Order: sequence, then C-alpha cells, then structure tokens
Amino acid sequence: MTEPIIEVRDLWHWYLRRTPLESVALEGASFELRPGEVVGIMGHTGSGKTTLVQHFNGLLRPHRGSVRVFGADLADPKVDPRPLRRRVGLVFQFPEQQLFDPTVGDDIAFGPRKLGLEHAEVRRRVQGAMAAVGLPFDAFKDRYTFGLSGGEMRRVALAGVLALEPEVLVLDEPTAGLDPRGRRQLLASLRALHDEHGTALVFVSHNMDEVAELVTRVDVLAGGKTVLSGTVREVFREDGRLRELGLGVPAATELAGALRSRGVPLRADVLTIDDAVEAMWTSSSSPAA
Amino acid sequence: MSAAGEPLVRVDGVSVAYPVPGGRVQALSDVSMEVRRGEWLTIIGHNGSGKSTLAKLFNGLVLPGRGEVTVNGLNTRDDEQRKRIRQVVGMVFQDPDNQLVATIVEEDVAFGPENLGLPRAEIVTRVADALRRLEIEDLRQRAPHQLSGGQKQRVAIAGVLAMKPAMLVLDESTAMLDPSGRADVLRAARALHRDGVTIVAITHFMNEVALADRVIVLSEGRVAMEADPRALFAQPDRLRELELDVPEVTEIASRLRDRGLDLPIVPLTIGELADAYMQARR
Repeated sequence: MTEPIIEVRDLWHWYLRRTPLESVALEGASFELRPGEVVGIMGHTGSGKTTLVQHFNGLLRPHRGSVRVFGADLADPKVDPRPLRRRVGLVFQFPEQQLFDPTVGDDIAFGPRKLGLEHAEVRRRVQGAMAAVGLPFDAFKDRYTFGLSGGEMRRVALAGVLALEPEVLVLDEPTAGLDPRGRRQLLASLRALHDEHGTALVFVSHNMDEVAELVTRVDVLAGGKTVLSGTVREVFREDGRLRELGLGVPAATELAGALRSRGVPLRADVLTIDDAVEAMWTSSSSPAA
Repeated sequence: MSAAGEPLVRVDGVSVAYPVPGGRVQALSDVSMEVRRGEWLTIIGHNGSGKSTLAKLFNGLVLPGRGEVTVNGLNTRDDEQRKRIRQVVGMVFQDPDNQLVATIVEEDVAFGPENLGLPRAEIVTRVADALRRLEIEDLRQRAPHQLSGGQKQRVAIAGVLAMKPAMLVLDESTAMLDPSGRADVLRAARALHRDGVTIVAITHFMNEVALADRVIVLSEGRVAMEADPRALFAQPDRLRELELDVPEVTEIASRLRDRGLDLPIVPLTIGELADAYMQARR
C-alpha cells in the first residue's frame, strides 16, 4: 500500500492556550490520506473538524502529537509550511466571502501570479481551473465578482485554489448554502477533478447524502477525537452511534432501515438513491426472498 | 373576504432593484403574493432568485422600488409604522454567529422586550416563556459563544418570540447547522406553528419543504410556481428547470414507479414511502 501523504497521530490543539479562556479543540485526533483518495470528515458543530484540517497545510501547528504532510514534520517549528500550501489547497467555509478582485479572471489568477508564473502559464491555469468548476472562460473571465450568484461565487473561490494545481484539495462544508443545482454541479466538478487529475480530496461535511455520494472512506470526529473510521459503508452501518453523535445517515439508509423494521429483507449497506432503488426493486419482485 | 381571511402580509406588484457599480441588479420583478394568517409558507428558489429580498420586504428591512407591502394593513413605507411592523414580523437569519448581542443568553432574549419599554415583570415573564417554548431554559445563564449552532439559532428565535410576533421568518436559518441542530430548530418552529405563529421558511433543503402548507418558488425575481408540497414535488421536471430538485424519498419513489412499481402517491417522508412500498409489494 502506498505511503500516506497526510498522516496525523494523536493530535492535540488548544485555543487561547495558557490563558484563563483556554479550551481544548483536539484531544488525540488521528487521520490518514493516501494519494488519490477521497476521504470524508464528519462531526457535529464544535467536534474539531475545522481545527483538524487547518493542520493539513501548516496553518495551525500541533501542540502535541504529530502531523506529517508530504514527509514534512509540522511538529518541528523549523519546518517552513509555505511550500506545502501549493500542494495542499484549503477551501474554507463560505470562501466567496474572500473574493477581493473586481473581476472573476483576476481573482482566480491571483494565486498563480503570486507564484511568479509566466503570463501564458497563468492563463492556462485560470482556464483549466474555470473549466474544472464549470465556469465558461470567455463568458465569465471579465464578469464582476459581486454580480455573481452565490453558487457562481463559490465556484470562483474554488477555482482560485484549483489554479494552484494542488495535489490535495481540502474542502470545509463546500456546499453549505448552495441551491440544489449548485450542489450537484459542485459535487460533479469535484468528482471530475479526482477522476481526471487524480487529485486527492478531503471533504468536511454534515450533509450525509453528499458524503455517501462522494467519498470512499470516512472519519467521524466527536469531542476532538476520531471516534469512527472506516469505509463509507462501514461507518453508515453505525446509524445508532451516528445519531448519538448529533449526525444522521443518508436518506436512503434511513429508508432502508424503516423498511427492514417493517420486515422487508434488504441488504445492510444501502447508501445512495441508486442503492435504494435497486434494493427495493429486487425485493419487490421476489417478495418471498 | 372575511376579516379573518385577510392576509397577514400582502405584497402587491413589487419590484426591487439594487444599485451596483455600472448599473442595477433586478432582485424582484412585479411580485404579488400574500402570507396567510397561521400558515406555514415555504419559499424556495435558486441562489439569486430573490428569496431573501422577498423575506426582507415583510418587515420593511427592504422597501419596494415599485408596488406596496402591507403587514396587518400597515404599509412598510410608512416610517411611523415600521416599529409596529417589526413587532408583528420577527426574522432569524442564516449565520448563528452574528445575531446574538448580549453576553448571557437570557439578556439576549430580553433585549427586544427591553427596547419596547415594557415593565420589568412583563419582560421577565416573556423571557421565561420564550426560553421554555424553545426548550433552552437550561442555557439561560450561558454565554452565546459556548453554544452550538443549533442552540444559538434557538436563542435567536427565543429573542424574536419574546416580542410576541404574529409571524416568524426563518431565512435559511438551518443552512449552517449540523443534522441535530437542524432537527432542534425545525422542532421548535413546528411547536410555534402549532401555537398559532405564522411561519415563513426559506430553505435550500428540499426535505424541509414537506413541513409547509404552501410553497412559493421564485426564479429570476418572479413567482414561478405556487403549490402545496405534494403537488410541487409531482412536477420534478419543472423543478429541475428552476434549478431545484425533489427530496430523496420522492426521487426514489419516482424511479421505482418508472420501473412499474405501483406507488400511487408522491411521498414526502420516509415513513410515507415505506408504507406505500409495503402496499405496492403485496
């Protein structure tokens, strides 16, 4: 098996450390990401998800425990995290609030220009990033950012990170506040990015249906610790535990549970709409099974 | 129409445009609609369709460029009436982190009634009542920053409720919450609705739409559809044209129907679909 590109072991982090207002955000969290993987991180508000992912490109440094990213030991204060920020792109919650250039093209080009790339390369990257998020280059490059819809602004912000061509893309609640079509398009863009460029994705979300649809492996955080970890099917099988943790299961999984409790034999790992349709159809055509 | 049937809010031929550098963005175009007393009205629409602008018309946070908005017969353009209108129509917004003003929960809930200049005993009664109805009595001495998102939103709703509004507008108030926070806020809203508070909910979660008596769909600043949830979700193609979707259960039912399974209704909840499936399977 390939070596992890992000490896977090027993990570502790405090806010306002050594002050009277000190509060602990992470209490021994762990995490692993291998090249090309798509991993979900779930947890209720305040479980430590955002604090954890802010360690992935050295925005936060471990107070205790270890964080290794592409071989760099971020617990070592002498290690400069800046080179990692090209390789690990972090998209924050509501990233559209961080757009600042008046036009779409300039906003997306900001990062590549800062890298000192040549004009032609900047242009290539902006075009590539806009294509990846489904914004036609010619129609959007000169549009004013403030005249865009929420979904379009979200995609511009994402394109700005993609233009750095990171090997790992970490997204914190990327679909919150988007309309259904905006969500669908964003998820499709992420899937294409993974399938076509092999970009590894870390998807932080409390939308169970989206997690089930996009990721292969899930970690669940609670109280700053990793409490469940496994394939998406293994984790969503723990529906009682997930509810205790303030989470839930995808609608299709809940429906399958409701049917099983009515005596319908259905397989244990119904996660997506496709799964539910197949399982219910199979069961309806052979009711004696 | 009888007096009892008179709508609580009437929006009549309203257009709203916002100035932007180099021009104007038309947020609403000739919208007419009403909010009926005691109903749960849900407003959906794509990002930028005008939902939030429409909601902000209801208490005069946004004034119409053209047309009129009246609340209990009071015109929102009338500066003299605006304070009374805001007592009738309370609003809770999306972000739980920028709606609380005080350092202690019960002071936050008391903030509105204090500004009305009510007697101390009345304020105390209203605060206690609001905390009880939102099931957050145990949080009364806590600092807002110690609360979860769902708790903060319930404190915000309690603050509105202490003003004894006839109507509560939830403008994407569940968008930033985790599943248990969302469930808590929706349970609180359902309880207020049962007590007679008119609810206007704006949401992108199609499975929350099932709670409504009536749904209005906005698109490009106009009313594109109006229906009850079941009739609405019976038109998935039209909804997709409007950049929306149907809830997962409705989608599953429709795909099974396409394959020939006899599922007669548009299910809105998991329980409904499960029951219909048991019938169809026999």
